[in-house]
Amino acid sequence: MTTVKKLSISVPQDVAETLEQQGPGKASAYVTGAVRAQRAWEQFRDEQARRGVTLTSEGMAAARARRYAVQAEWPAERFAAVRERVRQHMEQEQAGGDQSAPAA
Amino acid sequence: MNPEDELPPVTLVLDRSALLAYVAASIHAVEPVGEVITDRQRFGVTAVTVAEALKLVTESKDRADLHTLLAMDACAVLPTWGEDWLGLSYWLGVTSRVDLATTVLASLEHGAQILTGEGHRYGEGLAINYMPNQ
Repeated sequence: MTTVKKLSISVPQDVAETLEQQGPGKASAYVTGAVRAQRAWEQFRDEQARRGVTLTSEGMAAARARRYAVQAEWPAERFAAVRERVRQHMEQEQAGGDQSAPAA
Repeated sequence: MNPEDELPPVTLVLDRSALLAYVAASIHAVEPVGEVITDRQRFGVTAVTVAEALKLVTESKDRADLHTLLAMDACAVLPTWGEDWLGLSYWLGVTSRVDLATTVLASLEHGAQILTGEGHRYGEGLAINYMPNQ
């Protein structure tokens, strides 16, 4: 479990309102998530700068469009259906049914 | 679990070709990974895939880049579980490579798409995110 440290910080009014809207005890998780996300991005961005890789907003947007397109075609139910199909195939094989390897 | 301990979901799994493209500084691998991070999610790579990639990456600078990537907060190095041996066997039959089979298992476990430059190896019916030709 993560060790926590209590801090007293000052934030602008709009940020304070957002934190208060999270509900009792949820503001810390909200801040933690935001800080970790920002840190992860800075870590990645700095590493690419060190390597001399230039990230462009156009390229990032295109990558997001491609990922979202695949995501739209693959809701959680579709992943579950593939898992179930494989489970059934392997159960049949264990029961001595279809012994053939699946086709690529 | 405390809310502070919860990790973002893994939504993109890199296979060996994607890892090698990242090491080669291909924008077609770097930008999809960066995009996932800006969306406050994580990317994953299976331990078997890492081992396969390290077998091929011989330059010390490239190996260091790979180590740095794997140590990032947004990176999850994913296990392949013993109890999944049947599924592993099935996907090995489909892909003919154990690193690809572990990548498929990770994709199905996390509901994550596979970033790859060799999508033809997976057959039909998987969540494939094809990297453009490099």
